[in-house]
Amino acid sequence: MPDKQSPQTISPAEWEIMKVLWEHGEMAARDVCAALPKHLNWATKTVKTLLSRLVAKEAITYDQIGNSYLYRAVADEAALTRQEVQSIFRRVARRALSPALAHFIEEADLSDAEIDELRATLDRKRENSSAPQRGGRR
Amino acid sequence: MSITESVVDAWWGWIIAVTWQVALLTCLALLFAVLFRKAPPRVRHSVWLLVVLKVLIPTSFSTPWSAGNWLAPFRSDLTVSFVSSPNEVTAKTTLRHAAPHEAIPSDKQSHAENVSLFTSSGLFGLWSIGMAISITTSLIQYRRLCRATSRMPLLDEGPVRIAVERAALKLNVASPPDIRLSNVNASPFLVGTLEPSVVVSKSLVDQASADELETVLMHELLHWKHRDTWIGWLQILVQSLLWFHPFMWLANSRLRYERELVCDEAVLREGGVKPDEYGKTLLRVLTVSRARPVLAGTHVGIFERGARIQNRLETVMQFKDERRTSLTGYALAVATFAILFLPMSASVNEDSVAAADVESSTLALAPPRKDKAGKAKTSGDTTKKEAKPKTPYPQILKTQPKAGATGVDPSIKEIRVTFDRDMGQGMSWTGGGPEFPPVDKSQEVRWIDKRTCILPVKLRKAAYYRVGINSKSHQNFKDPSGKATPPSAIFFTTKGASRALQNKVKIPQITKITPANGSKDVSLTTKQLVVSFNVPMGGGMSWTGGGDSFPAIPDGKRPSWSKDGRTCTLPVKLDQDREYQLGLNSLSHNNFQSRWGVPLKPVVYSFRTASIPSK
Repeated sequence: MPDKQSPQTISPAEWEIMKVLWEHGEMAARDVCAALPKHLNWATKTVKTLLSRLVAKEAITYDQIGNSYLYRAVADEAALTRQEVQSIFRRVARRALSPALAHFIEEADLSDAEIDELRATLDRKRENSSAPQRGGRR
Repeated sequence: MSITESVVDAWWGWIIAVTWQVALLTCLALLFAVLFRKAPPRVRHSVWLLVVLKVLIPTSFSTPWSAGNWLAPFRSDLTVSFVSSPNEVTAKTTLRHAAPHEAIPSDKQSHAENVSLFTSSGLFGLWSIGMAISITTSLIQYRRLCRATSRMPLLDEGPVRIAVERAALKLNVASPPDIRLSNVNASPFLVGTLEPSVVVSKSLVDQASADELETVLMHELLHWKHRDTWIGWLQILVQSLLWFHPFMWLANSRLRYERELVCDEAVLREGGVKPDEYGKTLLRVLTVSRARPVLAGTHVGIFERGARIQNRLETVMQFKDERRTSLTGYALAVATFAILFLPMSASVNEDSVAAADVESSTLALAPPRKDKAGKAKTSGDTTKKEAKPKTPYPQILKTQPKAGATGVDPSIKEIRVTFDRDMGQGMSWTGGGPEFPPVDKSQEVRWIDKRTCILPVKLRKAAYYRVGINSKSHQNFKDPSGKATPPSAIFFTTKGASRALQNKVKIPQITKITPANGSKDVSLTTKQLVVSFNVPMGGGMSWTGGGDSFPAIPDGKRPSWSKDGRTCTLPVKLDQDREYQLGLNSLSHNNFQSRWGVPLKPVVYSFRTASIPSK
């Protein structure tokens, strides 16, 4: 039996909706539909279904004004991204993370600034991981 | 036989078989439901679903343990108990009173068959009308409902849609159906097969809390998840086929009831709803919808017609989460039920009709009997009773049609053979090729009592048929002690057969025998016995007998046939003043046959030679 989809798990289609809401703020379903990338070519009904599902998953909320509904994201973009990345790594890199990370880095089109930021992140990671070891020797 | 007659025949066989099989299976399912009343409703639902599916399974589906095997003695009664008109009662009485030893007079039998044909055609018409009305009504209802549903507002966003999505997440339903809002007060229901919609009433949306709404929608989603609308169509189909059958109505009703219990249980188990909350929700839906349930079987709702709400509420309140309880035992019970009871037809012996390509080469009829005068008498009189068995092996007492009959009504449905004693339940109908009558596979080859066996057939007009009873290699027509009846055959032509075909079933008759049968003072100069027949013969011969009463054959001499195949000569060397007795054919040797394989009925041939050689 497949695992039940937890409310926090966001499907790729729902991510497209979330990105629009994060970028534009509160929007009606029709506006979300208009703001989506053209190549997706989704019907309004599909967008409304995805919005309803995201409300059910508590990633977004809505306000009813008359007969219309305005949706806005409640899930923090960074937190949701972090969660999604963790989910991906759990699925993709069960034992060794470095090959998967290396693959991501190789595939990504990174600017110098982004490479510097990554390097700084790795340095911080090294410092954080070595600190408890020193403490353990005391 | 016309196409219509063939259709009616096939239908008649099917309807009789499916009627008793469904009735019996429903009784067994009721028993199962009682025994497993504490089991999860899924278990009972599966069994009722099997009853519905049974209608679509070929009625000839059989196993060695099929119910048809142990019901065989009662089957003739079951067959005729379906008829009800005054004319049919005649047929019923005739058949019922056909005790093992009784002969059914041919005129009565013919009348019964005609009545049966009339009855089956009439009933076929009635059944067709009933089925057409049932299906048409369901389709019209469904179409109206679909039209009405398509005009209802689509709730593609807002609280109701979100409630559906929440319910879908809990139940792991990937693509929940559309939601439509109805202004009519009725309990929510699911309609549609491929792209279904859940219809909820405006009053329910207005009055129910968000949790109650979600619970109700969860119930409908479970109907979708379980594909209950598809099962609903299946029920409509079988109900239309057996619209007259009270057991089918009962089985469908039980299936609908168990289906609701299955969804109730899943709402509690998978949806995590508390029993008391769910009970309140059911009552809320009932009061808001003003107790208007779903009216047709093409859609499924939270309440259906005749729903037993108290039983449901009791079941809901007694719910125990059995997620960890193994269902293997229950699954085995259902599988056992299916294996044991779905095949119901009586099994057919391998050597019987199904294996009709076995060619019998040996034919025989009952042995000769002597009248009071001691004269040989043929056994062709098949309608007369025989008081007690006289031979160590079973004899054929009578057959229908009679062997050698011409102008047989092609509408007769079966070939019967009755033996002179109780028989075992095996059978070997032998023969093959175009001469073997087409078997009606919708009916069963069966014993209607311990002495009479029936072969259901579909005869054509103007045809010649030959059915073997046992053969050299297949001898399952035998008594309980294992003594087989000697190989024999029933051969006949149906109405409209040409003279040439009719000649094929002519039983050979002796036109002249020299010396004459029973003659005295036969001259010792007689060097041969000569027998002539009324039809061309096949070239074989069976001069039977032995010992001193059988005439000696001179060395180097052999019996022979005339060129026209009608006269056979046996060279002999006779002694003076001696009683000779021999036979032409016997039970086990019957090679005196017509060119078309019809054997001469055994004849005892005797004469006495003179005491003084003639000069």
